[in-house]
Amino acid sequence: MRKGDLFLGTSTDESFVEKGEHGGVVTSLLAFALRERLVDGVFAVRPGQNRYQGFPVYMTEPEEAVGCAGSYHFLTPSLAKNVKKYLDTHQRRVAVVCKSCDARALVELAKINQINLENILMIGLNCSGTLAPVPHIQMLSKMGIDPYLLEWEDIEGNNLVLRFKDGEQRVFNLDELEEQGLGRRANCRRCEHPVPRMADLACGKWGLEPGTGGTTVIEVCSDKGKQLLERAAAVRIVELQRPTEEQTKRREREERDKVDSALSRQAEDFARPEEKFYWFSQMDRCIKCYSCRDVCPLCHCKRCVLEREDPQTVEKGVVPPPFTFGTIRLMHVAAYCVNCGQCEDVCSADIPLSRLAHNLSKVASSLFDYHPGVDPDAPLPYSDIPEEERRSQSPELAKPS
Amino acid sequence: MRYEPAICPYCTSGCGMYLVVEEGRVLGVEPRKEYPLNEGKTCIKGSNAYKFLDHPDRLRRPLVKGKACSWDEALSLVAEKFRGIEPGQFGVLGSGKTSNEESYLLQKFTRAVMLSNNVEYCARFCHSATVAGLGPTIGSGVMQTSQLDLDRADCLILAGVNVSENFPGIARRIRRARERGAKVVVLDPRVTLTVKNLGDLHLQPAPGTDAALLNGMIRIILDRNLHNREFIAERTTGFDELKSSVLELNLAEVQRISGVDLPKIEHAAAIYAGAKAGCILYDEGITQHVSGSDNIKLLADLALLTGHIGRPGTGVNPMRGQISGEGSGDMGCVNVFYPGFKRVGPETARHFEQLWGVQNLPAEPGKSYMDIINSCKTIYAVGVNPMMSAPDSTGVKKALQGSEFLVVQDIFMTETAELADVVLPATAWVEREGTHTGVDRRVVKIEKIVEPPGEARPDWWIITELAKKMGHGREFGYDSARQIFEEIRRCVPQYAGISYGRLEKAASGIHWPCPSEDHPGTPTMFTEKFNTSDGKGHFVPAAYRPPAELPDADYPFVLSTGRVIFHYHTGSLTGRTDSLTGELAEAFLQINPADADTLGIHDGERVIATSRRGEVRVKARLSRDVPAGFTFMPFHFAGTPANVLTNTSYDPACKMPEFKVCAIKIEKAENGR
Repeated sequence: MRKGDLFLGTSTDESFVEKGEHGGVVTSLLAFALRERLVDGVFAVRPGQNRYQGFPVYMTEPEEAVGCAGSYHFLTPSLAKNVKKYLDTHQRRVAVVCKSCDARALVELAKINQINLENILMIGLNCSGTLAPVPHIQMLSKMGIDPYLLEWEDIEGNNLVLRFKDGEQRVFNLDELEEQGLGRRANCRRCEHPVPRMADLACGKWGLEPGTGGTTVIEVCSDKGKQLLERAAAVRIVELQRPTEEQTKRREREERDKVDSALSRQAEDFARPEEKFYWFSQMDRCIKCYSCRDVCPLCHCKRCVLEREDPQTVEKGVVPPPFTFGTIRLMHVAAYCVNCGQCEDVCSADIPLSRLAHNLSKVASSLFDYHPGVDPDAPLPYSDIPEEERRSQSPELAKPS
Repeated sequence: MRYEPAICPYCTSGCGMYLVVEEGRVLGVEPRKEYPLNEGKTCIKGSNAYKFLDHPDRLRRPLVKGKACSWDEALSLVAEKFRGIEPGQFGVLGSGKTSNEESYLLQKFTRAVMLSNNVEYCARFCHSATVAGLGPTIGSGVMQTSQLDLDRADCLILAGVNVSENFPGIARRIRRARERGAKVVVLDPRVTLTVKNLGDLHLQPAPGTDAALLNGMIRIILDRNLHNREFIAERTTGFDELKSSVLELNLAEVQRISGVDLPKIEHAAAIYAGAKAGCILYDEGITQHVSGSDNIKLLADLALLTGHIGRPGTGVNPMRGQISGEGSGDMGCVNVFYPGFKRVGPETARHFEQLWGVQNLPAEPGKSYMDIINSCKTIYAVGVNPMMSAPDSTGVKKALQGSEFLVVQDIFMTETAELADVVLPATAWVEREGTHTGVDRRVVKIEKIVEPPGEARPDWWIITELAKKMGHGREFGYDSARQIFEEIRRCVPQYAGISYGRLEKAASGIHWPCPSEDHPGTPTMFTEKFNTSDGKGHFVPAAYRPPAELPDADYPFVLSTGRVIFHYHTGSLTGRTDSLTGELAEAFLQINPADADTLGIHDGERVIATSRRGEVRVKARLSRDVPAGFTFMPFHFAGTPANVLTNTSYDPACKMPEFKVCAIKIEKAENGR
């Protein structure tokens, strides 16, 4: 087994197969990691009363893992931020079930010493995008459908498929939804990392023939991931086989389609001529709730410059705050932004913040040839000055070697 | 760590949030993105709402004359002092922050144990004018639409309500309505954040001249035949009286009094009357006047005249400002209402004697808030801080010091508690289970998530124990909030169909009236008939009357008080939250630069603001957002208390004090420091 290898996995534990979305592999691996004391705990999202409610939970018992099985498109807490804020990963080893935005944030957080990546096992999930719950709850209500009867949802190709407890199934075209401001969150539409290769394993269904159940496609992304998978396979917790060439090709195609569509969405989102004026008017609505900072997985200063007293960076006690309130924060995270969309989700003034943050991070990315969250070993843009640049007389930045 | 759902304890927008709890402590607030009202968004108060819970200032033990003692000692003393008091000499001041269960018990204690109707709560200072204004016109002083339906409106009139700062959750919904093309008219003497963020048309009347302006709008609508004849014919009475009342009105005079250009008033009248779904939202800017109840009658007249009422996203809607701002009224913490808005009288008293199994319930209206402060010898104040919230703080202090026995039940040593003979430590927010009813009659449930500090106890427990000590254990045999809620369901018909079980499953609460278990609740009121005796909407005319205290040579400026986004009411909670005091830790006096220039005052300099009642040293904030001659000061700060200045003159119909207009003079403090 090597990094980059692809397997079809199935779980041997019947109860997990039933609960898990595609073969219960992820759940089985988590339970296995706990049982074998490879980790002290598992951090994942557990669903609540319905498909729209879920919260991060820290589990220490193997039996608990099954409670988090399934693939939930309406649950979008930032696990990375929760890990940083509430779990001390210097003290405990944690398996985190993450989408690429979580995994990328964790990678960045490790570089600024907020977490200890050595103690974290990232079980990555391929992601075709997530959806804001309330607009869809409202959409269904307006259609006369009880939104709380939703039993299962999935994104298949360009469709959102919803299945309800009364057996009814509805299929919505994503393009049509997204034109009305529904469908996938705006940041997800721009996400060019559908497969979380910065995690230790990347699991998902891409590559399988449509309608195939009971199997998960697993990509080995690191030595840690390899070890876990090998150990689990050795004791037959999961059964692995190689995918067919056709399956491998299909997976590549599906991933490429996602990336292409994300890149063209980025081009569209970042190239609006009215942007400058647009952002001034957007920021005028800010009510200084600080939620964008509070929820950002990468904001980490113990004493935030936005709240500094002496000297005061941003005038206190007035709304709207000066334009600098938003821009200072954005500049602080520009180099690391992983486009997780949290800032936009929680903005009290409905400002599409992640579009601006993502745009800035792309600019930073092109300046420094630095891609946030992708490579744990890549040094932070400001920390590494290439030799040729030290010697250069040109005002231009040199690319790191 | 675990996530626990909660509702924000502050403004009544009712935002959902998750509290992250570990080892009995709340570590933070996290977004609750599936909550239909706020979708995971909160303002700065909400994001920091957990911080006051384990603040070192929390009251942990009962105090008698400042000395800690046991619950038994404290309650025995209170029971002894309360026993045998003449009902007219006893008064209770309740809160919009206590749960429905607690408010219910508080009024039951006042009535069934103390045999008095002297029970009031803070709504006297925000929406007593609503009850007096909407009662005669539409029969009920409540918000008529669900806040979720506000984006159905295509014209919103925001009358004296700074939604963007004081109801950020609701402001967002108005913004979305506006994005869909709704027009927003703001009535406010100041250029507030609401005007800047949401206003399409700003009517900036001279302070206290709303009635003139509203009569002008009524007249314009009639002159232009923009009224809704069909609606008026089918669903209202008194149209002719209204018509004749504005017949003599001189529109030039309206412009002169209000200072608003006639074309603007005409424009506002035309877009409101021409809307498909017009919606009026209003708050203290228009209620806190000696003419407050008249202002509200005129708003109701406008809604009836145009038929903008009784449909989702319409109505004439009061914005109650506390998590249980509606609930404590529903529960009967009002001198003239038993629970469920049963008007005080012999019949109601008999009804509740039967329900409660007691005798001799009071059948005469009790004293109102300020009369309790000024004339009751024994006062029991629960979760309320009149030293900061009532007008003329110096007068309030004198009155409370002059009372014979003052009991304050609260979570912090408030400015009022400092004057108390006995202080009883209560639980806060998620330290006990209970229900709250917010702005749009939405009943929601709060779960107990953490233990209270020290020996603090739930308000319902304290009231129950006190009643037991006074020999009323039989009527107060409660051992849980749930049990009290079951009694509320039996006594308040609007709540009959709401149960803890239903609330625990509901996505975002249930709107009363909800008469039975299988009833979905009522997001929109008055779809068929109004809550008046004949079911019709009643036009009630009202003429303009000027404010009680206008500027003169000695006191040349108008002072208006209000709130800012960073703080909440009397500051007892937000004043103990570092992230909020970091933004603003003291009041400011907003003053027009031209006035400041005349007085030689620079921005940030300290001035002495003096009214006929007292003086405050406060920093000047120069801003063109207030017109010349007009000043504004927030009332949240104990160190710079605005209510030292305010006037006790009140609306005779409802005893609403005129917080929004009094006369002051301003001098520069020595060296401006």
